[in-house]
Amino acid sequence: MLKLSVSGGYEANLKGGLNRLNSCLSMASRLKGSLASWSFTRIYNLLPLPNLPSGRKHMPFAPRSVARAPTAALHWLNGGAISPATGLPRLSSLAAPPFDEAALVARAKAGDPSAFSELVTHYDRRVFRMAKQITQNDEDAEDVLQETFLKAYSHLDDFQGNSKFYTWLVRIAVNEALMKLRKRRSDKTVPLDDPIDTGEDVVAREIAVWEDDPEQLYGREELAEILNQAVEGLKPAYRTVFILRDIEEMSIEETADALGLSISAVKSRLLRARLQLREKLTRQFKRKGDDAFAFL
Amino acid sequence: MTHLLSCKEFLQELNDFLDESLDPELRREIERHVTECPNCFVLCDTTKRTLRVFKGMDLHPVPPEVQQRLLQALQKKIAENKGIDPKALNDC
Repeated sequence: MLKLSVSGGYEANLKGGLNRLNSCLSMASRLKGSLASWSFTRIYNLLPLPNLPSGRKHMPFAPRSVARAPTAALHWLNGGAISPATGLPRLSSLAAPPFDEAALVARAKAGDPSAFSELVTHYDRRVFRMAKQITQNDEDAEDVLQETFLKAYSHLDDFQGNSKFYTWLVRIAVNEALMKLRKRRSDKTVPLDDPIDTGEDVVAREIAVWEDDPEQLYGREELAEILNQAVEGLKPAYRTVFILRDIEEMSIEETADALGLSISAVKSRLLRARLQLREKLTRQFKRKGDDAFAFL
Repeated sequence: MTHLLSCKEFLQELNDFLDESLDPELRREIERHVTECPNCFVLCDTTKRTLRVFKGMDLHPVPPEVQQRLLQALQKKIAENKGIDPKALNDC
């Protein structure tokens, strides 16, 4: 029996499983890097920790902290501070290294999987959000998320560094998402290269002032639903541009690069997307009653 | 003499105006136009607020189980690339 004391006052008795532990450590050691992260997380979640607060049978790392799990686990095993309130290690005391995309990509290309894992952890949320917004479907978004990172890993050698890694990732993700849309709408194509429009036919039909704080009129989920529906109503060609530029806050140039479009095409589509969304939200948020046209 | 923008010209410059990427002179012309044209004022204000409301929303956080499946898929891929039988990982 391995007995450990931690400074938060908890004692953890790690009973048995040492052979299993050794086997996992051996495997982690062989694979190094990200697999070590995964193995450590698995190991500590498998071992019983009977003296943790009631209801906590496992070392409770939040899923978002998987990348920090090995550091936190070692911190904890080495007597690092545990919050008495939560039973969690004080992760705030662990200094996170600064994120250096170029250095991580170089390490990943050199065969260090932990570097690629860090890139995944850094960007998975943004890729998933983008995939969800383009496909408007949970299952498709998860597929896109996985395919994007698996393809990025497989084709890492093809990344020449002419653009940011994230822009390259976005290009893969958008292509995957649009392929999902095409499959779902097998009777139609979803072209990313619609004819360039000049925006001249954009007509603002709904001109009305909004309530002062329309967001406050709705609950968080209800508001999210309104926004999702508004985005879903856009044509994919406009939706993707809006998502990259206004949700992901990529520059016009990065958006054009990621989508393989000209700057003028991005600007034109962005204008249409913004005006169409404005139109849809105005129907929801406009001031009710006689005041709606008070500006006239 | 200052050029007076038409509503159509205003619309063409709206993106750059909202993105604050216009040169100062054109920006002043836009600002003058919206103070004199009620429709364009409302159009500009509500488009600006549209962008703000979207920027303020975290629409789709990644569910923990999705993240977990992603990590597992990657671990499997990495293991395959390194010539390790992925099934061996299940023993950990």
